[in-house]
Amino acid sequence: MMVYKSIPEYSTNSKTSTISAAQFFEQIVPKQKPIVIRGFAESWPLVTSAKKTPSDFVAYLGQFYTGKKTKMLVAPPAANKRFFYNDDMTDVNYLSGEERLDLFLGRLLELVDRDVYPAISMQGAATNEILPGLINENCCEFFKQLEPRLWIGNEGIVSAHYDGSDNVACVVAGRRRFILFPPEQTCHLYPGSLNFTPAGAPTSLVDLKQPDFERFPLFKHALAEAYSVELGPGDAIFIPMLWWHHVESLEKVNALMNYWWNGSSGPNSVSPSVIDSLNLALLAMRDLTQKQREAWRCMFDHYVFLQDPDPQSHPRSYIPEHQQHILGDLSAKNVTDIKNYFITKLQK
Amino acid sequence: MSNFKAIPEYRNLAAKQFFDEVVPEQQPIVLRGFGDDWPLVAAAKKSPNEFSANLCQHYNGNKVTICAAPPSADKRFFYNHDLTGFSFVSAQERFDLFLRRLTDFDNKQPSPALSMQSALIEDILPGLLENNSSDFFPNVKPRLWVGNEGVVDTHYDGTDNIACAVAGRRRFILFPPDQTSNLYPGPLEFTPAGVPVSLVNLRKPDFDRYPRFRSALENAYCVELEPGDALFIPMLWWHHVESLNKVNALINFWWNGSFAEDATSPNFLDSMKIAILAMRDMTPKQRAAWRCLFDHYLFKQGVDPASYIPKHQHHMLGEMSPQYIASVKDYFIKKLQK
Repeated sequence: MMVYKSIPEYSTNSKTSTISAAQFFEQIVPKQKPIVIRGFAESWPLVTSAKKTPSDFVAYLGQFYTGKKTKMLVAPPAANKRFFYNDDMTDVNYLSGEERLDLFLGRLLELVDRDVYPAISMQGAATNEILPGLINENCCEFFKQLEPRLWIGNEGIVSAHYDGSDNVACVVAGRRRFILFPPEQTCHLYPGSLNFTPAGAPTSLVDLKQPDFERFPLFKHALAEAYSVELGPGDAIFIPMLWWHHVESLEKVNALMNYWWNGSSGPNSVSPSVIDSLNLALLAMRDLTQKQREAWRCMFDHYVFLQDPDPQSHPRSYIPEHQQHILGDLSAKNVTDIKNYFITKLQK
Repeated sequence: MSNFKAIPEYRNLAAKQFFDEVVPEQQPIVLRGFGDDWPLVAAAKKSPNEFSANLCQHYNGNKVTICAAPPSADKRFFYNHDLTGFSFVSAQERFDLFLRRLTDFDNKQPSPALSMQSALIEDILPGLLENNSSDFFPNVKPRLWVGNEGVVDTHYDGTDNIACAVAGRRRFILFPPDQTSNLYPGPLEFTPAGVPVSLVNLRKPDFDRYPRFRSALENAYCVELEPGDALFIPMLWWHHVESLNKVNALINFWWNGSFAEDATSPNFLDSMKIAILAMRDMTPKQRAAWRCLFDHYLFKQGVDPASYIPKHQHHMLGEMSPQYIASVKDYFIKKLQK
């Protein structure tokens, strides 16, 4: 059995609160390291109902439902609960479609007593659209303005992937196990295609439950740096942008509410996204040799990633403001002009 | 004075050896005598007037862009003191008049620095290429640079470069790409030479303002070229170029990369600017995290993604057909229009 690192734990229990929203945003988020917040949603009626029985949970949700369809995934028993690629990577191993939430929840309860069953999952539903009113009764002091997304399913695995946003994910029903890898482990995770992915973001090709070390020898290094935690109803985890996470739902009925902010899934997401810019750089540099890529890496380190620890070396600190252009603060008009410039370039 | 490193020197290097063994290493080398059999070099070795006459016999009358920096600019084609403009002006002029001006300056003091930069030879001197060409580059269109004493500040090109002095002496100081941060590279948009330049005056460095430049100097290379000598400057190697005589000229060949005739669009610098745009709201820690992803997929710092992802899912990571490239561009045009 793998020995994972543990994640620092805080709590917002009514009795022993160890973290406030202000502390979280001022002290935790800037560090971009994961933390666990126990009892984050302890007072939500949704969590209380889930702690009773799956039927109570389903009944509680049902009262907000307006009949809208939302996205569902179904993986056959052969997929071994893993929402992933098929064997030869020509497609994914599950089906997806739009379905009514009440039918989905009914199916979920139906499968509770089966011995052999598919993994089913409702992913990332916008709560205000599907269940208006739900967040009025289940609101969170940390994210008063942010619409959370709801994920519901039976036992299932989402393979290690990252999000281009900061994320607080709160278990509201069942138990969930998270295994996290820091961004520096990207190179040891064998991340797959950027352009065809099971979950919208690049996914590690290694099956964490049964790693094929012959094919993926470097994965050992990633495991040595991995963190793990199991969350129960009401517990939350902060997953910083680009931290790889493998998520396992452990019960017959599991649900999670999550908040994405900053970056590509946040409310102020910018276009092009960072992943778009990576794709465009891949396009631009397609003919470069390895040594030439290394040279461009130095340029990106300087202008894009600001890698030098000496802040005096960052372009903004020594280029006068009136010549910073794209390196400085950009107005909405600047952004539009720059985009138009690149559109013209791409049209060539 | 700084102790610069020396650049390996070759004489009579064969083209095949150059492309097979030298270019892949992306380290500079000197090619002594590269253009020794060019009549233009022979003329330049005699006198500036012979050089000028040799060029003029091929001149087709087209105007060229000339840069002129007043004596107060100290021979630099650079920014003005507060970076609101440049230290030089540029204008269109007949090439023969420009050459006459250069030779006329010969005994006058002080004179402005004059320079004609990167003119395509086939545009102004089509016949010149008949007897002054290189078997290294049968398919590259060479460019001509002519001027008196002048300095082009430390900059890089997004392409591989062979630069051959054909008249006068030229001093090159080179910095490897990993010295980028120590060079205080300037604005990306507004530049004296089309590419970012170091803001440090290499001849009179202000170490109070640019303390890290000392480290760059410790890693710098230097060479002086005579007429006929060439230098291979790999892509992204920063170079400071000083023309040392009253009449100097250089012919250069750019291939691979953004100045090459088969250059890709968007070019490398554009793609970097798009990344700057996309990451504008990211904190330093978030940028460090994104760097891990770029390191893996783009800069290939670890195991190559194409080695473990099946070919049919390579997409942007593998060979791209012209049709695929067109569809990718269309996709991003739509994204940018949002």
